[in-house]
Parts: sequence; C-alpha cells; structure tokens
Amino acid sequence: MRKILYCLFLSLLFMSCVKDIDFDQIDDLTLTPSFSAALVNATLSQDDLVLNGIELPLPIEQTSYFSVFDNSTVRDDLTRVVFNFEVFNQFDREFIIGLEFLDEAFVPTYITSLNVSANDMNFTQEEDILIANYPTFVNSRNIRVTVTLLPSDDGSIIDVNEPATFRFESGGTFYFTVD
Amino acid sequence: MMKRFVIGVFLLIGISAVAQHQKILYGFNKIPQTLLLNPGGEIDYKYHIGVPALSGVNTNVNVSGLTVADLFRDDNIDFTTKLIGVVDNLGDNDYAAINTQIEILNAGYRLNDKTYISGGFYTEIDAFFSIPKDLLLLARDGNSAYLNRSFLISKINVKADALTVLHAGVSRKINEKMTVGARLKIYSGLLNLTSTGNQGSFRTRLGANSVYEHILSNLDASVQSSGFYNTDNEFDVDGNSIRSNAFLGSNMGLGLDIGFTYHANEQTEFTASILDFGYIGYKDKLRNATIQGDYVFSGIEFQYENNQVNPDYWQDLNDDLDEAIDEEENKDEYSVMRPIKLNASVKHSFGKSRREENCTDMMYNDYFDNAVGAQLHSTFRPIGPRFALTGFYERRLAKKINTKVTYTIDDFSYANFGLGISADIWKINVYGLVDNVFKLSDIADASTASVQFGLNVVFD
Repeated sequence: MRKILYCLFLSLLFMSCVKDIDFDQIDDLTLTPSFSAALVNATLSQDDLVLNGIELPLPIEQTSYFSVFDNSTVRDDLTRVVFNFEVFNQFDREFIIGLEFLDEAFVPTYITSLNVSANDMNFTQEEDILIANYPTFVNSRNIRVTVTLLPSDDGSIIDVNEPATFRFESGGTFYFTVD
Repeated sequence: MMKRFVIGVFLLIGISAVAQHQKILYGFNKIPQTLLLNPGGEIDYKYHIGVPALSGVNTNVNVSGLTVADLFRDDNIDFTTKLIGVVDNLGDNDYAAINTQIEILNAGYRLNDKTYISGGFYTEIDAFFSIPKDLLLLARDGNSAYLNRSFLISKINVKADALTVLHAGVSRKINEKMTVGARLKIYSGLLNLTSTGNQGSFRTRLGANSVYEHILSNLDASVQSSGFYNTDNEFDVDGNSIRSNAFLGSNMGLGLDIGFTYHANEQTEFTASILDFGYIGYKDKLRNATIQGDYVFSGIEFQYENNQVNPDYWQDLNDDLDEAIDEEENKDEYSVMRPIKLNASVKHSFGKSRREENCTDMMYNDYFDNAVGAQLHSTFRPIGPRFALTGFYERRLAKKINTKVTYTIDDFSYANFGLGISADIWKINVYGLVDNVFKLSDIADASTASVQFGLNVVFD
C-alpha cells in the first residue's frame, strides 16, 4: 500500500508540475555534421621514374583497401563528398593522375582524373560528389591511384641528375545528414 | 536506440529535478535525519525511529547549462534549432549530478543528557558526469568547422556509484557551548563506473605535407567498472549479484562523518561537518580499460619506388596505430573515493515570545522564535569542489512546528527559494522540504528542484 501511495505521489507531482512538454520532438532532429580527413599522398622523385636510364613504363599504380564504408550509419547517412587534390610538380613534364574508387570486387564506383601541367607547383582540383547521383559510391572499399607521365614534346627523358619532386596529396570532406 | 536513450536521460532529469543537496535539511534540528548531515547536530528527542522506507526519501538531480524545457517545450520551434542553441550555450564546466537516497531504517536513542546515538541503513545512487561541450560540438558539427581546434579528452568525467550504507553515529555534548559528533559508515558497493583524470586531445589542421593532418596528443584515458560485466566480458547486470553485494558484500568500504555545533553565545551558533570521507574497494564483476599514446595521421603514403608490389597499406596503418596507441583491458581491483562533502553554517537566533521569565505567565517560551543564518556547502567532484551558498530564515510557529525558508546560489540557479516544515504531531514527526518553489509549477524549466519528505516516530 505504501509503495502504491509513494508511486502515485511521485507521478502526480511529475504530471501536475510539467507544462507543455513534448518528447516526440526528438523525432524531428536532423544533424548535418561534416568530417574532413586526409586520404592518400605520394611522392615521386626522378629516381622513381627512371631506372637504368630508361623511363619506367607508365602508368604506375598503387591500391589501398579502406573500411570506412563498412559502417552502416556512414553508408546510410552520407549525402555528399568533396575531394581536394593538391599537386606539386617540379618536373618539366605533364602528368595524369587517375583516381578510382572500387568496390569489393574491384568494380569502379567512381572515377576521376587530374591533368597536371609541367612545372605546375600549385595545382589544385576539387571533386564534388552527391551521393544521390552516385549511390554506388558508398560500396567503395578500395582506392587506386594511377600515375601516368606523358611523353615529352621533344622526346627527351627525365634527367636523373637533376633532382625534382612530384608530390600528390588528397583529402576529403564527408557530409552527413543524421535523422 | 539513441533517441530513446536521450529521452530516458531527460525523463530522469525531469522526474529527478526534485531534490537539492539537502540544504534545507542541514541544521534543521527538529528533524532527526539532520544528524546525517552533521553528526554534531543537537537533537532533543529521547529517541526516534524512522518509518521504514519513508523516513527519508530524497532524490537529487541537478544539471547545469540546460533544462528539459530548453529542448522539449512544445513551442513550435524546430527541435534541431533548439538543440544547436543548447549546445552552443553550454559552458566549459557544465555537468549533471544525480543523488538518490532512500532510508530503509533510521533510529536513534539518547543514552544520557549528553549523548545521543543513532544508526541506520540506506541505499544511495550517486552519479556525476561532466557535459563535454567540446565533444558534443564535434559530434554535432564534425571536425570540418573546427580546424586547428583541440578537443580535450579531459572533458570526459564520469563517476557513478550505486551502494548501500550501514551507519552508526554518536552526538556528544561536551559542554554548554560545544557538541561534537561522528558517524562511521560501512559502504557496500553494488555498481560503479568511473572515468576520471583523462588526458589528451584531438586536433585536425591543414597539413604542411598533406591536405589535412590529424593529431592525437598525449592520450591517457581509462574507465573502470564493477557490476556490469561477467567474466566473459558480456554486459550482465544481474539482480542476484546486486542483492548479494547489498549487505557486506564483495565491494566494501569505510567512511567517516564528523561534525560539531558551537554556541558562541545564547543566540549565535556555528556548525560544520565533513561527510563521506571514505572509499569503496571494488572486487566483483570488474572490467577496466586504459588507452595511451600519441599518433599523427596525414594520409596513407603510396610507395611508387621502382614500381614495387602494392603493400597492404590499410593493414600497415592498423599496425601503426596498434603500435602507437596502447589499449589494455584488465580486471584489477580498484578503489574509489566517495565524494566528500563539507558543510558550514552560522546562525543567529532572536525574538523570544516573551523576554523575561515569569513564573505566573503560562505563555512563556524558553526558545527563540526566529533565526537567520548562512550555510556553505561543497561537494568534491572530479572537476573540483562545487559550492552552494544558502541564506536562511527559520521561524518557530509553535513549540512543535518549525519552518525554514532558504535562498541558495549555486551552479544551477541564482534564484532558488526553498521551504521546509517540520511538525511533531503526537509521537510522529512529519517533515516536508521543497526547494526551488517558484519552479515547482514548471519543473521541466528547472535546473534544480527538490522535494523531500519523511516520517519518524519520536519520543521527547
């Protein structure tokens, strides 16, 4: 009996002293966080492009797995991705950087490329991906970066005695809508 | 799931926004339970027995920086807008503190004119957690908007206990001016979660050799728990296990309360007390974890040298992280200090109904009708001592009816008015204490509110 009265007292206290409160409002919550992250970088010197006096057969490529999209919340709530690319090219040669996002079967989900001019030391490029337009992008599990050194106009090759650097950097900003 | 958790937290706040840290009860000497706040208090009963489970019901939830109404008022304002505003308005040291005590048994007996002994058994839930504005901003907005900002792991502080307390105390009148007291407490821990003293920071900035650079610095964090996980590290809050620890179980501790009352003269008195100077040692159903290290991530570096075979970059990154960040789990026994509380007060009594004793006047009262004073309370929390300053006025309406009005300033409110009344009706002492009275009609808009009540059987 005491327990019943005690609970009734507390219930009345709570119910009678609370005005105009609606907890269902939380269903209307929508947050839009965005997270920036470094992605893939690479540095190439003249020694990486020339072996025994011969320019390496290009393109050269490297691939890395990543598991970010294993998380269902990330997959479901991602709405947009903006990639930022920065390239520092000291070579007197043009490069093409190919970026491929691949699913588990290595089928491309998104492809883009960067055309870097000779001696361009401030190259930047931005890629804006709306997930609604590229829904398979969230199936990506691998990233492949391909470097292609375009032939010179005069047929010359890179001089290994002249130090030079090609630096590629990438980052992404991932936008989410969380309901 | 997350929404239900958030609603649950705010419901608890709403229900619990009934209780302060017993500022009205402190020094209210007509209520025997005041001895739990000052063992050196002066009780003039011959003996008392608390009505089991009804002698002292007190719940205390305080949240600084926000109220239930801030978010859930039905005011046609978009909920997301309200949440953004609430998080923006949080301070760096906002926190929530919950304390619930239910007396199971409380009794006292006067051995002689100078000595009053008392004891009892009560259950307590005490939880403190800081509200990490930093990390809430990170979760709400992401790191893109906060390049170069350090998010501090030290803002995470949690200390929560569920326990029972078996206590026995004595109040001893040394002379006409001084009464001292002490209370020994035996704690039996039921559940504990502790994560304090954490260090480290996380920051994202534009990189010198990358687009972004992520820096995890001086990470040193830990969490300890008892009662939540079984030997297989599965979440298992077991009623049988809790009951077995409820009375002199595996998780034991000792604590001490001391206090005094000093009469400078007939009208002025000073009191002070230290409560819960003690600890609990946890040994049952333990699961602890620590994480330490530093790491800087600027992106995966693809290696094109000599067109080598593709390394497993992702595995290399994970190996790098494992090497740099040391994560460990253990089941080591640990001890946790109880939150120590300090109380101090000065009280000046005045205004007798009749100024002079008169043998023929049956209306003469040998007590003062009024008293004014001030109290200072402090609880030691993981983020440091938290203070509350209370001014009060006591009015004795009759020999057996006492009232008290308080005004308190603390972390939660600058306009907290409280009211207490204690009445001895035949052999029954009944008391009710209400805090933050002006917010009672809208508790959801209160950062703190309090209702405490109790019934004791008393004998003069």
